Amino acid sequence: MALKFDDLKRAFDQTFQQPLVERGQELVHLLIVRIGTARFALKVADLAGLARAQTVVPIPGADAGLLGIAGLKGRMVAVHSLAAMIGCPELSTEQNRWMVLCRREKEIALAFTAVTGTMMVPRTELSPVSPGAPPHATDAVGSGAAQLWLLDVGSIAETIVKKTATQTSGGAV
Amino acid sequence: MVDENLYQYFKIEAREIVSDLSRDILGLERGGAGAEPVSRLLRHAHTLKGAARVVRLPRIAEIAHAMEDSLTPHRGSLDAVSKEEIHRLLEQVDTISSEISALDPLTPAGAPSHPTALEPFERVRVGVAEMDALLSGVSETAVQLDGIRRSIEVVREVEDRLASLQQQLTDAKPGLRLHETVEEMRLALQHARQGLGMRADSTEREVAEVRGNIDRLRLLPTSLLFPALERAVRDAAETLGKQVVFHTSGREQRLESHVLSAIGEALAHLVRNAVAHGIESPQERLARGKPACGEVSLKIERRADRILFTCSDDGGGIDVDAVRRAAVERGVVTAASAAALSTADALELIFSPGVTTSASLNEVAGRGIGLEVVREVANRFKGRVGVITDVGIGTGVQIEVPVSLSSVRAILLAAGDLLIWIPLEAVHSALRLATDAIVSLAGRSSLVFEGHAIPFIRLAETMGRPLASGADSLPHLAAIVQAGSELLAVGVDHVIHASEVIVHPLPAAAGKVAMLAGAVFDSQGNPQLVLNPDALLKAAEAVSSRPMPVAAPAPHVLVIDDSLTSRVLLKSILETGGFKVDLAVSGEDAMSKARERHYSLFVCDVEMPGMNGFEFVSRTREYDYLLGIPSILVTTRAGADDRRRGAEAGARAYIVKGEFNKDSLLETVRSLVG
Repeated sequence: MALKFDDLKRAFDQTFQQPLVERGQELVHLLIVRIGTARFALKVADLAGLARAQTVVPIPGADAGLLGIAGLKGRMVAVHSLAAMIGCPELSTEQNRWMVLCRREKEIALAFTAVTGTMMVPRTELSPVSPGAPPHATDAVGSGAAQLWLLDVGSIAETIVKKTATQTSGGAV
Repeated sequence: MVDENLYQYFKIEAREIVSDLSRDILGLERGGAGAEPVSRLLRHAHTLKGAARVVRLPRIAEIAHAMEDSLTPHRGSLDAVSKEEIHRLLEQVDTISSEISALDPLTPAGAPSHPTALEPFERVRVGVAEMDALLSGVSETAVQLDGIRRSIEVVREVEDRLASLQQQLTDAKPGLRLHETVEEMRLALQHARQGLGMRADSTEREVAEVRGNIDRLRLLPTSLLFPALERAVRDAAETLGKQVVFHTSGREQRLESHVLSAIGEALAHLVRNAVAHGIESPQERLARGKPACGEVSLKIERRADRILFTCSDDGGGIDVDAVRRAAVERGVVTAASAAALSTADALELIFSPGVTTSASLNEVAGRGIGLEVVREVANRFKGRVGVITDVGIGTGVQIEVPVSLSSVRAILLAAGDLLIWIPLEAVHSALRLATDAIVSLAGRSSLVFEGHAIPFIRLAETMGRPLASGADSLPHLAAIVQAGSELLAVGVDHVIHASEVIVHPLPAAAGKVAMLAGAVFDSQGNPQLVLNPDALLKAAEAVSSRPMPVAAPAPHVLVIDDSLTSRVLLKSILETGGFKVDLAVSGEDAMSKARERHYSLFVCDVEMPGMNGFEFVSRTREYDYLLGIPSILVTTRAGADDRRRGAEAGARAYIVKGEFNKDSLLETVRSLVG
């Protein structure tokens, strides 16, 4: 079913207006994103916002995973490729049109191809990851061909912070 | 007479300090004995004393000094401060508070005053977080505007479809009333679209302006610090019977107000220390062969995303062994550790609490608090502090703090698909590139500039971007970038414009990018990068760090004269002197030629139809790319007024045609183009 992005964004934003207790302990609210043809789930609770990745300015000499910087609500954010962060850069064959802002590190945005929807999943239906899961995958959602990896956005942000803390880029010469 | 503005700022600062003093004294009473609360109270009292002296309020300064006297014995002691002492300290705070209130002419004499009394709401003090929230809201408006623009495009599409429908109706059934209805709809839509577009344009400009204003609200010029610091130097010198002159540079820098306020406090301690401990008495200076009057200087410089404050004096320098002894006496280090420290490490000890080399305590300094405040301020802003000294020559203390926001005048360059800002202060000049301007020296691209080969880089390539039109094409312009004594030619396609911009730091998650000083937001809220010129130079230094003298190509001279005879004569003389010569028949013709090629010199007649020689020379002063090119006026007009006019226009030499000879002309030309 095709989703209108503006409706999707509105629904996504509204979830932040609900008190935490109302979201309940048993249901996990997930944002489903697409990288190339592969779909992944992100916990909405780990995110501080969702936005179109319109103008991302590349940084000279940066790692391939760092797409550049962008302006988001008056704040400068570092936009990293979600595909690169989960070790699957080959998945990112299309333009990254969307990005999520990390709740833990609000200067970090993760870009991906598209948003495909949101879903509420009983916590009991999350299953442990199996061998072959990408880095930062904490659980599996669903089963069979419809199974998705649930990615830990906080863990991804932490990795980025650690990586960039000691990184000095002089730029290509 | 004290500047009323100084009182205004003093009152704000003093009320904050009084509030801090009250809080910390009460904390001490509650059992917060120990070194840290007492040190904090000492710092507050010391800062208040210095500020009061600057605005000539000796009563407040004396009370603060007395508080320091009471507190000093408790520093480093674990003994509780007695109730009597606490009571006396609070009384002193109340007295200071009354003195501050008395500065307001509306306060009745004897009116009760207390640190917690509400001050009139004359000013609104807004926290940085609130300002950020406001900025976020404004930026969101810009995003919404983008949505409106997309809607306008949809309206345009509907208009086009209506036009198409109208055409189909006309072709199918001419004369139908429906045609008029469709036309009315199309016109109404067109009107709505144009109105929306105009309002969107206008709102976008307003939003950009509001955004800039919000950013600027957070920034204050560093020059605001100078009057108070100058006063501090003067008063300290007067108190101690010394002669000192205070120099400042870097007033154009702007910093966030909360950073500036804290740095101002630290700098006040530094300049007072420089006078008290650095500058010798006039007699001592004369005996050492120095002028009786000492110098204290404050230099403020921007270094990429950091601001460097350097306070230096030409005094007696710091006795490092005395610092070691003082640190041992204060229990900061053991004697053995002190002896093992290098000179640089031992010097760092002067920033420790209570460490002072001053043999005696005076009204200006001597408690070892000032430099502790300096280090505390540097630490608070994740900055660094350092000191260099040379016995008998002087001392320099540097505070370097990262800036989260700053304002800088910069020019926007275009290179390939890249738009990037570069601080104007780093741009020495700009010149058009001739096709043969770039030469290869020792395997790297170089440009001959003012007789030296300097490294040449293509900006787009350096920034890892695709070149504008093929790898072999040459950029149209070279920006000659200067950092310190080094020069680098940076090839770009265009200079867009110059502007005052607010530079934001790059997000930490983008890593430390040496080549960038930060980024600015454009009117759409998107980032544009700002270059760090120092790092650009480092990138080019891989092969050679210093310009190498080479045999420069013959300087190219443009002769401007409406007389054919004069043109031919001047061309002939200059060519025999080894110069390449182009000719222009008027000032307008010369301006046009100067846009096409870089010249080393203009030789220009005065009386010409259209733009005369004076006007031409004046015009060359108005363009950055012509500013560095000297002009010689060669004319029949020999009057003193004409010579003066020529000099005022900017001519470097004035030659009267009836007096000149070949040798003197060539000599003058060579003196100007090397």
